[in-house]
Amino acid sequence: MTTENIVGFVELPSATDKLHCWKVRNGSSVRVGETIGLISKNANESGAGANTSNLEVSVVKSHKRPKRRMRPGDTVVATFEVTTTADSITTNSAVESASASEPKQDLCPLICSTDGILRIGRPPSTTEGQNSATIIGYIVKCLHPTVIEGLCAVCGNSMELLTSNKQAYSPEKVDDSVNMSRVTVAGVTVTISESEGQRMAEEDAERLRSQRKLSLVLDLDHTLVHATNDVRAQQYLHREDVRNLVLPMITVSESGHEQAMLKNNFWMQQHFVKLRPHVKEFLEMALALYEVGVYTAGTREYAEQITIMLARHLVGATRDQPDLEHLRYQVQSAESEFARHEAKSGGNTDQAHDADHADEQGNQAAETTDGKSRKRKRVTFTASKMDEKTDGVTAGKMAEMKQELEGVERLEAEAQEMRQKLFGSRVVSRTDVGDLGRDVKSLKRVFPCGGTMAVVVDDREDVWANAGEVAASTRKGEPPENLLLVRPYHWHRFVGYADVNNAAGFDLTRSQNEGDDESDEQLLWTSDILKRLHTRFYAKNTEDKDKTVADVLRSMRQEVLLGGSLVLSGLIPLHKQKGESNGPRPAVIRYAESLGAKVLPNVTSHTTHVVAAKDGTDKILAARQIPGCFVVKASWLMECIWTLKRSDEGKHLLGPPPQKKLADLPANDSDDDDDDDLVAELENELLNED
Amino acid sequence: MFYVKTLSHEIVLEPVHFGQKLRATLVRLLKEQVEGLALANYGYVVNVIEVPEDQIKSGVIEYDTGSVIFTVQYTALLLRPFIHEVLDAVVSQCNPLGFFAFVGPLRIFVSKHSMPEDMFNGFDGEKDAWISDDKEVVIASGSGVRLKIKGRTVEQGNITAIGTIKDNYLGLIDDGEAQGPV
Repeated sequence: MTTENIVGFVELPSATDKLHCWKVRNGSSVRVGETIGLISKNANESGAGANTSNLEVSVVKSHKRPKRRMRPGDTVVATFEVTTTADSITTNSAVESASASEPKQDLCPLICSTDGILRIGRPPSTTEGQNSATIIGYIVKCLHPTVIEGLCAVCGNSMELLTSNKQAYSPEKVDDSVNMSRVTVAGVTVTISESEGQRMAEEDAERLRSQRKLSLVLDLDHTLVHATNDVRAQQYLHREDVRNLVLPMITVSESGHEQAMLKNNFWMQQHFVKLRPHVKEFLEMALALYEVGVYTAGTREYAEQITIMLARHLVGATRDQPDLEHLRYQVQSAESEFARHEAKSGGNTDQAHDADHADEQGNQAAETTDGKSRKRKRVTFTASKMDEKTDGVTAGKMAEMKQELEGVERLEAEAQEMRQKLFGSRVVSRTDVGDLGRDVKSLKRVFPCGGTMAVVVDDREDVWANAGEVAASTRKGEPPENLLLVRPYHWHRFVGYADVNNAAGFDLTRSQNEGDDESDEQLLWTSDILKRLHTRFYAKNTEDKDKTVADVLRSMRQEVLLGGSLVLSGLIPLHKQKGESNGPRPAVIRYAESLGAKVLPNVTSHTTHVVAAKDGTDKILAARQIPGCFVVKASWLMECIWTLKRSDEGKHLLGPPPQKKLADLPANDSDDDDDDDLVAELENELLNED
Repeated sequence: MFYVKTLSHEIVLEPVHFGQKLRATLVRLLKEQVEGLALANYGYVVNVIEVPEDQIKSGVIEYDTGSVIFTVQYTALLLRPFIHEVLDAVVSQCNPLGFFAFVGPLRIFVSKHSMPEDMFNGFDGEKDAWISDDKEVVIASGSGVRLKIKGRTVEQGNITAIGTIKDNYLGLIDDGEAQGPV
């Protein structure tokens, strides 16, 4: 901090005074009128502590720690406290109650004159007119690095945040000078200043680089899981990848705000969650290469439950919260029953004797609450075994149940650990950023100053595009470049069931659901993309410190369809074909252009692909004349986007394959004379045929 | 900290409660409504100590609804954070910007700037705890800390305060392994 704003000085009243002790530490915030030190009036050299000069007093001693509470069994740890110096005056008004170890001195309080942060020592530059001998400290302005609920976290003053406009995601200003931005950390939304945000970003970047990791922000719904609260889904619980969880119901009150039903009402609904295929491999890969976080449109409880469920899946635990509680309850009730029987029957020695004995006690126990069953048993005079008496709870069974419970508990503990390791506190839910609205996700909330090392995986782009503040390189209305789109996941069995949170993203291949969604490979594709991205990013790590994830992704995308020349047919409505240069491009054009292909309005001899919604249009007929030009469905383009690889056109052909297949377009070069090559090859082929 | 004060509260009583047990109902309703509430300048009402029943004056009938409004005086035990006060609190949550601690219903936030210099960079993401340089002090969820209040605000029916542990003799006092009360 080179330029600190000095607002006041700490001055001794007169030159003969000596500072006895400081009451606050260097760097603490102080207020007007607060006692920040004690001054001894008479310059008595025999004071305890033998301070010879004012400056020596201000030598920073280490922080004194309070005495810990002793717990039974604690050994006395050598503490770092200095307990018997004259500084152990605990109250501010302790001038009179100076400890006995020091000789009588007049101690006056040193009062602070302004609000701010105290710095002990000579101020860096004294202005003229100040007597530097009596200045022992100075007060600087508090920079309000963190503001929570309207209070500065350092100086405790109420901040009046001046918002430039009334939107929730624009930077706010404090004192007209410092930009503050909201950030959500671990479920709490606080406001931090720009410098603080930058410092956080630097720390994060440091940490990530040292571990050779990047940041990954995942969406949950339709990206990793498909959740529904429809009761019909109950029939699928037997599957390993279908889980259930219980959540309080959310109602929308008249004012439009969402409120969770009070738990007292016990209006909890059961939700059923289908995990996407390959989610385990995906998460395992992510764990190794990325620092994973979650940004979901669900509530906080939903986010927490799903993250634990994912952790359980990774660990191999199959019992979810309701099952776990049920099991615990079972074991507990079995235990208590067993214990009761043990106590009553007192051992296993003589069966007949015990039978009678138990019968008697059964009679006696008739009045007890659990005696109903034994009342019935009273009638059996045969030498019934212990098994029957204890309602089937034998020692053997008990041990089994206990073991099972132990195993499950152990797995649960492992799952909790795994969850901590995987996600930590990096979970952002809709309730945390409530002020953003239901359909907006903003990367700025998670990474206020940066996000240059972050990748987002989501099935919806529009929520990210709706955020007011995006990086400078993004066109307005378009999602940020470090967003990896994935195919929205719908489990076919759950189709038609109610959606829990927001709807899935727009799927251009909506009529193309495969028969059995077990063949959904999106997570494998994304996992591959992430691996490639990571390798590329850290490939030349010494060279380009300013390389961002967005840059790397952009270059990766550009290589996919480089040299391709696309014509779209039947995909963009006429009114959008005008092509405003500043507005958001229609999605299909955006995908094609980001993949490196050129989008032309008409078919030419250079056209390599025609992406069409249905067969039989003019453009398609024209394209069939051109050898080597593929006529493909929109699913081809989407698959290219989802895998970031040039998909096999053969799987997405619309109609017959093109005549005379040429050599494949080069996938990874970026020559400018690609088109010339194509034309040359075409001519060669034609010539050869002749 | 805690203090006692005489306050007054308006209770709207519906006609169904009229009758023999009017005063008892008033007292019961008062307790239900007021205990746990955070009043703007007074703090949290921890308990209603006494409602001098003879002091309850007659109520005023509302013309529109037929309910009666009683103004009840009562003595309440209040919890309020005072600036520069030193309190013992229980840590509930640690995050990279600081930690949250609770004194009953009162939430206190201690930012990393208000921690001693040897703890400034001590946030451990894996364990969700603040650890000092010499590893002696570990502030995690459930630990007891002694902190000094620096500022407070009331919003949305909750009181939030800002605290510091930077001064001498402030900081961790309890490991929090056993479930001990504050």
